Amino acid sequence: MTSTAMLQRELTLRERLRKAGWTQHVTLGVLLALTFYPIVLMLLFSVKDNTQFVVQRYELSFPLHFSNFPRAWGGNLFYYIINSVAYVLGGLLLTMVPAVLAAYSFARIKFFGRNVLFYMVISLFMIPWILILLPAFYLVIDLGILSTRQAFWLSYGAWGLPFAIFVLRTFFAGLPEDLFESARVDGAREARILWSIVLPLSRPIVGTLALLQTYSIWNDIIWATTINVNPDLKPIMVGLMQFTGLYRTQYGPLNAGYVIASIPMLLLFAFTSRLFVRGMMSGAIRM
Amino acid sequence: MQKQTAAATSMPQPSTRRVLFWRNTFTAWLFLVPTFVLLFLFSYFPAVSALYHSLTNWTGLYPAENFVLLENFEELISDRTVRASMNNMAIVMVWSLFSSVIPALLVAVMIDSLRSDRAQYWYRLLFVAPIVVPLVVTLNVWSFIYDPDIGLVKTIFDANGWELQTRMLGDPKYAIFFLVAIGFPWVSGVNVLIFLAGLQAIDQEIRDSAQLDGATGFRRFLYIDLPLLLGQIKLIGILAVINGIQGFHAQFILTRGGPGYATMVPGMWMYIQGYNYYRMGYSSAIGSVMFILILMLSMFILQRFRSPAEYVAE
Repeated sequence: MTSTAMLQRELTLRERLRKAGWTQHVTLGVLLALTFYPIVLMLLFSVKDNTQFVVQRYELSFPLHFSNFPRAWGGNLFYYIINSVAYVLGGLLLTMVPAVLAAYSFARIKFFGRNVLFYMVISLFMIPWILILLPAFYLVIDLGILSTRQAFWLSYGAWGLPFAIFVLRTFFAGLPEDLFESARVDGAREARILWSIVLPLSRPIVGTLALLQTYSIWNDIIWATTINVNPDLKPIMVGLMQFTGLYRTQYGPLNAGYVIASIPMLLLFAFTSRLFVRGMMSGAIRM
Repeated sequence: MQKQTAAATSMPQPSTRRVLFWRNTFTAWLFLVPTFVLLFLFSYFPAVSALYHSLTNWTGLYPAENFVLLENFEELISDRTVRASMNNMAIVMVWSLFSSVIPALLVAVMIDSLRSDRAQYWYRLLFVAPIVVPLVVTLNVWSFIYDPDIGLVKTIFDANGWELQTRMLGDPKYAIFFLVAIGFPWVSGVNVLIFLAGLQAIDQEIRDSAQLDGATGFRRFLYIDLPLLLGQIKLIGILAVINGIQGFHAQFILTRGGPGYATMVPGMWMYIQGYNYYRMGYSSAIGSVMFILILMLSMFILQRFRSPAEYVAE
């Protein structure tokens, strides 16, 4: 009798704790802090001069040297960022437009060769990117587009396709059939259905894929180093490598440059995080 | 089933249905043209080219190559750098699988268990926010944290009066472990969102009835949530394995495979052979082996872990 009563009380205590979610809040808080401390370090170092860096490295030290930022800005970062933005825009266009068309076909049109063609796309998941990296580099040479913007656009566009098609197809296939049936009965062509029914419904997932593609183009460095020898066309990642070499011993401007390089994506994230989270949560990204 | 009856009622004539089928085929193929033009150029052609050239001594430059048949693969077997890089690759791969799934899953489950929607929203946002920091920056900040003279790790050791025995990324024996430890605590925000989406799609009725049957807490997670998350786990797992096998960003930016060959992985070695030494034949042979490895492992994962959701869908 007493033991059951005690058990009862213990349960309620545990339950009360669980209701407040303290364990979760503490664990998540610690994990967040650990995830963010390299970023905090970067911000901290970006406002230090060399003396402060030696003497008070891990604390906020005054005066704050915001002059590190103009000094870092002098390292061509602006032009690198512009280049990267251009590559992102071109790569996005060449991924999203073909991917939407292809995914729609695979998901909602019954046609000759549908399975074979879809498996051809999906099989690219199994082909390691490193296998095609260097042959693609020689292709770029053969096409005469080495060190041109077109080389970036076409390659980024192509490599974003399999994942985008795969995810979009899952999403399109999950849309209710009635929508399509009634439109088809009304005599609407596929292009029309895609444009005025499917696309408005899939804005979050299209946006999310576009963002994922943006982040991956923005972060590309190996391919960008390989296919470009023109310093004027360097994207920000390649520029940052060189920048890191130049400012190796000047931690203030170096980290200020890193902060500057993070700003474009930070702005993008600030304006799109809602959409991004909503798209990711739509549940289409799975197998 | 439903689809077919609907189609049958709206298109009674078999001949019209055939016409429609071919008209659809025409439309669909038209829609697929841009995709396949791009894929042929930058995916299929290079892939075939790599497989083909793995049998040659192509330098990447012209005049062209000679067939050497399996010579590249023979060299590959006796290449000590390849052996070292395979070991490292195994470490990276296992680690990548673990670190992309477990921390993100843990965080997702914890966020999911919170009652407050507001708290959930903010945790989601904060965990995914670090993706704004460019990879090069993250890696370089970590290379500072690891700096054996002035880095954070060194400072922590000094402050506690401990002696730091290793030069971390410069340590020929342990550099690879320090390299994979980059990004601690390895919570990938994107993966958290993917898992959360899966968790929140689980029917509350299933959970409620499980609770009635006495499955709460960890048992519910193990028997209800986990099987229903297999679709997400599989996707992230396969991508992690593929990235683990072929990725060499950290090497490319920080170590170049060094010191010595301590952090060398096949991807980096392949790049050096093909791009720096003009040995495209040999480079392609390394790539081909990687291809076969990835193919086998992905097949294994797909076969081994079929999710119950798949059966429901079919």
